[in-house]
Amino acid sequence: MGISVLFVLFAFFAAKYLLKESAMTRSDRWIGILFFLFGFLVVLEASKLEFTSSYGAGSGFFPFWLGVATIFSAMIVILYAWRTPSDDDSPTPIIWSIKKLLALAALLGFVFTLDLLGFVTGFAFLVAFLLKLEGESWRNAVSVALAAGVGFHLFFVRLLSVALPVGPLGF
Amino acid sequence: MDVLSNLLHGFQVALLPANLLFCLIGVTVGTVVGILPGIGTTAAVSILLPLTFRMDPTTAMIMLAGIYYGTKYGGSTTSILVNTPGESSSVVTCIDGYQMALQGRAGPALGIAAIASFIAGTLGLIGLIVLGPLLTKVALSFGPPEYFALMVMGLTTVAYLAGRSMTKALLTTALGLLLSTVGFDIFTGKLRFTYNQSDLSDGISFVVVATGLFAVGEVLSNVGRSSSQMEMFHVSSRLRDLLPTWQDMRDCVGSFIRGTLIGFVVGVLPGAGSSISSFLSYGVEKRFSSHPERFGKGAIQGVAGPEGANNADTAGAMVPMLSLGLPGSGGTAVLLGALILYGIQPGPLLFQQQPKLVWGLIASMYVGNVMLLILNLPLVPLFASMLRLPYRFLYPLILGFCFVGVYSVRQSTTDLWLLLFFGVLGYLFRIYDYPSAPMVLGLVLGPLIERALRQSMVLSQGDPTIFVTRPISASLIVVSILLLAAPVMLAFFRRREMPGVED
Repeated sequence: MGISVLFVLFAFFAAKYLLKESAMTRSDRWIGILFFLFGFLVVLEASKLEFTSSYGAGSGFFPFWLGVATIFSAMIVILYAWRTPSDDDSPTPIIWSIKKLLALAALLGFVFTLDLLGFVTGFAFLVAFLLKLEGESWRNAVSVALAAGVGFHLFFVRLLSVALPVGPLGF
Repeated sequence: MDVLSNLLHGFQVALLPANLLFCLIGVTVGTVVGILPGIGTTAAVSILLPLTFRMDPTTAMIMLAGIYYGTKYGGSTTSILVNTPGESSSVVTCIDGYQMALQGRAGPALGIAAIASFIAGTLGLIGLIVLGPLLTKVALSFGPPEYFALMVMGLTTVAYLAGRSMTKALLTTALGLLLSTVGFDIFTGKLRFTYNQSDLSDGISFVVVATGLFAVGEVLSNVGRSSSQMEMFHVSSRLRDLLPTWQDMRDCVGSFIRGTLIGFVVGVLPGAGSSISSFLSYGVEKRFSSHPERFGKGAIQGVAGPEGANNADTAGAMVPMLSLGLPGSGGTAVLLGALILYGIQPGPLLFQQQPKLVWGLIASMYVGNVMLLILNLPLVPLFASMLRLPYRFLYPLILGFCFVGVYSVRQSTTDLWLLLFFGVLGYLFRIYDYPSAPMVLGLVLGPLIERALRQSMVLSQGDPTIFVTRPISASLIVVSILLLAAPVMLAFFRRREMPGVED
């Protein structure tokens, strides 16, 4: 009984505190909705698993309640973000510049071609591309890329015997 | 007196030239392994175990233990310098350590981490000798409900990792806990949320998530910034500026002691893990600080406390291992396996039957801690000077380390895709002000919480009051509620005191 009273009191103070948060922006509305949908999906998927079993709680018990907790937290985010007045909105940050997108594409390309080129060769190409993207000269980019590739091969493959994907060149 | 004479005998063993040499090799290898993300303590000890088969068991255990606690020293280096935790217990060091590096205080952050590790490691060993038997009895009285309550207490540190929004922190914690449910269900053996991807059946590795959120996220946020924005690190060339000042040391005295106590007590509990002690210590430091607003912005106590806890945990974990033959963590499980391989039976009789080994090992840990301090402090300027390299040259190398670290854990390309996914997520979290650390905390604690919760439910036949009817569990839950309520209540009363002040 005492514990229940303590929980209710805590929930009251917590709700009052959480609803007065000042760290929300209007973009949190959409993020909150995304999390809400994600939580809903988790609850649906967890419902397909056993809720209880001969071991007590089943496979779906823990993820189900976590999905509920995600939905609940997302609802608080949406609620508060909805109360944020439009003139309080901070300027929308530039999230993806061309340079950032190219760097991300290079990283995706590196993982995609990993088994084809091998780790060391692929990594040397990645370093050269990223340095060129940062405005380095071809000479600097290529020499640093070669040094990085050789250094990684000697340190990780030769010295520490880390198993990395090998390409047609043997490294 | 018995303890003192045994310890003296232990020092005679530990100071033998061969034991000193292998202790030095162990702590050096441990430091290097700790620096590299992805190669954890357990993996390092396991990989080097075959090298010790022909050695004297005492010498072998001294070297393996050196690797075990040496990794704890090294783990903080990449957390502070490049925001990449070497292991789960170093995640929390990223929060303030990296901020200190951004402010040109990488040297003092590395120095205080080494000093905290030394002090906590040494004090923890005194605890191992004096309090070991007593704490072991307490730890043995812990059942699943008590572990569940302890894990819940670990989760309350979210309140202190929350940054500006508690709701966002709760949301990312729930995400971390959810990620921990991917893969085999430990109770029924059924697959959950794997969607026919065999690479996901072992779950999502902590290394992937932490490296993605912290390191790749950081790199993505810096790519494309102008040169003037990118040269963020200012590293002094004067040695005096590269080490902690006396003021720093004075500020951290309490943190050293609190970190040691938390780390040691959590270390004694089998299965609790050093990540819990470092997260708990961070929460306690913020709670005790007269300037909690500095946490997350480069507070030196945010490095000293968790680093101390993380190292005192090592001595604590040795208590159940040496006195009862119970491994408290993955690392001590491998050490215990090594003992069995050498033909030594671990258990309560180990102290009587193998005094040379046990006391030699304990004494060697004192020696090893001194070696680590001597090794690490002079290396601070060298590590800090890494930051003088322009960021455009540094970040491709950071990415390379991340890829190798993540790939080396399971040799899985899926993990690399996940690394990039969590990197983008970490970057978006940064932009929209969602804290990443609670997500990692959730991922680390998730399996432990679920196991303890479900075991408790089996014990109680589905009755949830088991958590509040057992005294230790109930006390821990009340402490958790108080820890969670403290910032909420404080904010509430501050608002009442200053009605006209906006947050």
